[in-house]
Amino acid sequence: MPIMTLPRPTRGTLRAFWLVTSAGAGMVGGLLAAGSRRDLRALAASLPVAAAVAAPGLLRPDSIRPAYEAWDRLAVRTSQRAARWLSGSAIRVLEAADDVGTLSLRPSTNVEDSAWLVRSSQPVEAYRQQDVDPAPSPGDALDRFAMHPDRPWALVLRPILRVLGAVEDPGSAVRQPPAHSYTLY
Amino acid sequence: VRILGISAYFHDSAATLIEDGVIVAASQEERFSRKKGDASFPSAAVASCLDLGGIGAGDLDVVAFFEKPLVKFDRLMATFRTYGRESETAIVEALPRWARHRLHLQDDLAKALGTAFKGELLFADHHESHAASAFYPSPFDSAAVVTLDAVGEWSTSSIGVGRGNELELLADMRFPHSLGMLYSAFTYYTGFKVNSGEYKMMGLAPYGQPRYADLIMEHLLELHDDGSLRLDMSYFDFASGGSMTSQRFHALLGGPPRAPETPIDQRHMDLAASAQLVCEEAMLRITNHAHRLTGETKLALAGGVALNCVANGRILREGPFEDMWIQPAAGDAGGSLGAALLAWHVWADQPREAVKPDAQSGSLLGPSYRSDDIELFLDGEGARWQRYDEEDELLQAIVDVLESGGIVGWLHGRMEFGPRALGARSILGDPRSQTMQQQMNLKIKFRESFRPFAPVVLRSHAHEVFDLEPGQESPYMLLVANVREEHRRELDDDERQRLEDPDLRIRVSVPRSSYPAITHVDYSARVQTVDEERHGRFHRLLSAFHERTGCPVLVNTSFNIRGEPIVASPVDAFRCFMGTEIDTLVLEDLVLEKQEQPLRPSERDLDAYRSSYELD
Repeated sequence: MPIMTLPRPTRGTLRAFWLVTSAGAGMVGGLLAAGSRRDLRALAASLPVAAAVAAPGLLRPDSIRPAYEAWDRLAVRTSQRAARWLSGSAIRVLEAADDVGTLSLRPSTNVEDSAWLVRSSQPVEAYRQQDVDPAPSPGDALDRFAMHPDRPWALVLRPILRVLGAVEDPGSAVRQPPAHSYTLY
Repeated sequence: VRILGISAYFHDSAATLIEDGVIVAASQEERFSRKKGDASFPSAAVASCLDLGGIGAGDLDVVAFFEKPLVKFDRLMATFRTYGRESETAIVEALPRWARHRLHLQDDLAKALGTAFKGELLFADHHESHAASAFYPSPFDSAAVVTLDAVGEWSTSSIGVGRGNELELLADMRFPHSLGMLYSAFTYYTGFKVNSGEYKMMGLAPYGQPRYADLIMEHLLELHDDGSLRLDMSYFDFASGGSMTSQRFHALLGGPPRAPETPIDQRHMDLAASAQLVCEEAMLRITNHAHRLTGETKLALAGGVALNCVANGRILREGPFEDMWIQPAAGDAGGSLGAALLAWHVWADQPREAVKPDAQSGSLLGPSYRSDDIELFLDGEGARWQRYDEEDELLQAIVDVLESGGIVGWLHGRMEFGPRALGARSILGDPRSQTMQQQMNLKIKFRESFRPFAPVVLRSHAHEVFDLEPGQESPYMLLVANVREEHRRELDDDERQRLEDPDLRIRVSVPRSSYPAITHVDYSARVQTVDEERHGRFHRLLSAFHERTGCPVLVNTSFNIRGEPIVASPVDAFRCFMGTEIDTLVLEDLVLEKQEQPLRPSERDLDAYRSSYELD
């Protein structure tokens, strides 16, 4: 296997970040110029401002690494907070839609009996399924799961999960689940 | 037919590639990402497997995931529906990751494989994946199969039987009643990190007396003769995600959990010994029940609890099975292998022939590196090295270092799959040295450990050093055996007194045998046997050391510092070499001596390296 050591973020990522930042700075510069002179033609100032901001970062991308990292930290923190807020809302909705606290994870068998439960291996046809639905219908697996009559709560949760997935930090899976609650992951 | 198995999102993400049922490659993501226990989608491990198979994503016929995400999600929601507000904080934390990753596996898969992959996407069952990883690579035509871990979808343990290409699970225990969770609860309570510190608690147990075992059996669980168990959940909080143990647990066992990195006292040692004894008792009963249920004489074992090599040793010695085989990647990483093998043997209904000694190839299934490429890298770093084109010269040079008490970093061949360093990414030393244990811990691992290191021993001489039958092997470091009587030392009064010292570092420093660096206080050792067939050059190194010194044993510890994943590439190995006091580094045919290196890292760089990994 070849030895590869690519720095993260790559210079391409840094340049792309700086181009967008420069465009934003140019736009703000142009708007300020147009506002102070009360002349829309002053918007043309956007271009030289953007170019002036972009040049050092594009020529020496490593110099903007601290700015990129600060932005990245801010973005991750913001998305984490938003995701937790949404997740909390999902729980509230779930609470309203279902009899929370009525289900028991404890098997109902007598404690004197063996705790081994008879089971079998999954049938070959179930290998294509993310759940154990014996007669799956076509469509998105999660939608099928949510449409099941035994899970009214899942139907309520489905749209929130969609938004939550978009908001959550893409890098979150790198972190180890918390030790005390890792069985929930 | 090419099948890619994947395990991800829980802990120890991994990928495995098999071709027509033969294991081609397998790796854990943490080795590439350098994040211990990395749970993210194993993109780099997938890339490595495809590279080693010489194929692209478009050449894959099947991708098999190791569990059923929606069944597990159902359990997550059942937790909330059971515990309500009590579990809210934990659920709020977990739900976003489910929404982003776990429920959209296809998105992560598309990112890793691109649009070229047009094959089938399959989903195995978590414990069936473990069972498959235990049975299919084993050397047995038929066997009882036992899986033991914390929890999969709902199952926490299972018993099954494998015959030919058929694998049938017969019984399981369900969450929250879990032997793995019981052991992890004590790992947490004795101050170690859940999911990685279990082996430390196992290493602490020999210092204690199992004086809490009866209390545990009486209050914490109902253990039946058939090994099945029910936990009294009023003593545990893990099901709601609040904490591992409850206030009631603390009251029963005499105080709050030990805070990590605080002193360990005799009570903690006794607790560890008690939890270990209960675990061994449960495993013995479970395997006895599996024998009665299946009538099989061989046993295949997997799941995280199967890494408890002390219990494994007892099952082999005291259990009803003639022989047993344990999957070296027994934890969730091995699920990727099991899922791929299930897709081949069960889903595609392909026949199986048992391979001897096994089909795991020494678990050396990761990437390897060419000396020419390493030369280019080292030149770029300004390192000074010597290349040995004659293997014998290289081995003699390394034996010189080891014999003179030096410590060697050794990277050769394909990387190990599983949690143990098995001689491909290892740090080696002379086990006869009385200072080796302390030296390796302080100068390389940067820790003060109470555990001895593990020995590697020539298979042909293993029975001369350890209580093993002639020819008996332990190629994956999954069995514990005692050092034989004739190698044990008679202790003097001063040494006996030091063995009572509250400081465990003092106790472990008392030489108990002619191999003090690898002998625990109860004379036990976590043995790895080495043979030519599986280990090649590593076996020849050990043979050369034996020829020179008469000692067929070396100290073998993982090539990393505390908290760091085991090194994968020569880049990682060079960084570890320069960041520690390893004397000599072997990178395939190239040898580097620390004292000859023209550039030394600054104190700041060293601090940055040592603090870049979270302590485990």
